[in-house]
Amino acid sequence: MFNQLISDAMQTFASQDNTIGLIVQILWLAFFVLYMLYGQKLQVKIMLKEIEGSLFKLKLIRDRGREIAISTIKKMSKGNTDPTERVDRILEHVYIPPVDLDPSGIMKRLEHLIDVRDFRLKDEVKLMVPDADETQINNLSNMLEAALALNQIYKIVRHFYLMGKKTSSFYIILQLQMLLPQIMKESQAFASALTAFTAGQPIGDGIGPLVAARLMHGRKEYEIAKDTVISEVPIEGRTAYVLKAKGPGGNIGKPGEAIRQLLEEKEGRVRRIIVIDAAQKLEGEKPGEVVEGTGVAIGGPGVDKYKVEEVATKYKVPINAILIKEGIEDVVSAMRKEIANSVEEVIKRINRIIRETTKEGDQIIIAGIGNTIGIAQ
Amino acid sequence: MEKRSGKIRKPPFFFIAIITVLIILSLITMIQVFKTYIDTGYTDFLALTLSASALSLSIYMALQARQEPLKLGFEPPKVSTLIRCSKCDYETIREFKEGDYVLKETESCPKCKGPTFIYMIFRETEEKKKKT
Repeated sequence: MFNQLISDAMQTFASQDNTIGLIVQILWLAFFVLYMLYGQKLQVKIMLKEIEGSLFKLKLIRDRGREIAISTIKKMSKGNTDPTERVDRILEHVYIPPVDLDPSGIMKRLEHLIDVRDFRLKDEVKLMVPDADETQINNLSNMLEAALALNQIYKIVRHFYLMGKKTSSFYIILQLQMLLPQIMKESQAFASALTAFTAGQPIGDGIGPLVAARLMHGRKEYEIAKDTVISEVPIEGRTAYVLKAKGPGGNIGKPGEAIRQLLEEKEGRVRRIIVIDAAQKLEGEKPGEVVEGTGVAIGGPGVDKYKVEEVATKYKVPINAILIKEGIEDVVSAMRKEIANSVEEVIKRINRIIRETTKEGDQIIIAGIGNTIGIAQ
Repeated sequence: MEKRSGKIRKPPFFFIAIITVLIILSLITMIQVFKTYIDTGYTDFLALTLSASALSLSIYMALQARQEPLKLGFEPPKVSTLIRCSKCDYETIREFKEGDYVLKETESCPKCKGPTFIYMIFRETEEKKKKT
């Protein structure tokens, strides 16, 4: 029966008369010629359609972010003012980095500009929500930063999409299409960040401050630099100066300045600096995995990293880094359980480093780096 | 904030009607092909191929139309708060409430009446089922 079916099928397809065969050949030839001439254009159209879909999604994310920002501020200001106009203005805010043609003194200029931007954003929040406390102001500033990032991403993608469409440039469209998966991942991370900032939940980046808070718990703290607190904690017979950004509002503080001041105050009599921070995990690595390294593990524009490197080099203080691996989607969204659970492992490693590299009576600095939203001290 | 909803997007009536007609026609054609084969021993491969393609395409389209709604990333995750007693081994987990933060002092311990505090705030992750 099977053989019969096969022979029937062969007969059906083989017994085409010459006219149909000729038509099929002409069609194939026409398809080949058209593909040679318009193949790339067709590919461009397909890619543009794909980008258009993602751009639409980015627009939805941007608009929803803006809506959340406006409604949260309205809710906090008890509907006294309409913040829409001001929020829209903040979302269009542009940061111009300092000139780097003459790098001399660039760090001071960079720090100044970052401070001005930060103050400006907080002032805007204060104007919109006059009754807000420090924690609320910090959280709202962080929320607006996330909404601003979403707006910027959407506008940049739209710019390249329109430019590619206008010029029909295959390479502009190709580059954009290649980058889109990463861009979409980042946008969704910012969207979940906005949700976390609105609710005041700790985020993945807060693992450094969480470790510091655990060490500082029950100890008296004082503010050493702007938005940065420090506590004296006895560990294994040594004196550890544990520092973190001041919480529980969304803050990163000035850890670089704090370490610089402390080292200058102690005239370099510090045996070791241990920096704890979240680090980008590579594909295949588990979130919450703890690794060690050498160097200053402080992200961001580089001002704090520069300050620590400079002062540590001046007094020849060794620097250890303890890194907690996280994916890009975990860094700014509510802290994953696996990441929160890594605190015990980090503390174990801190104790081991202290035991192995310092003597009793020594002084050390432990810095928990990151955004301290939802984490007090 | 948005509420998480596991609702399936409802396809439009017109779309369902077209798919239904397509499936019915494909099935009728297949039955016809089968009947012809039984009666005459001849297999109409062209009709069989076309109806099978139409059937699979309509099933695929129906499944695509039932996909979950667009996720933008604003869906609030399940966040929990772990509370611990400073004096005894008491600990409890509850849903995150606005105003919670790590090291915040909370109500007294039901076991020893000692002070309790928020030890940890974390997000439960949804593990994707791996195909084996």
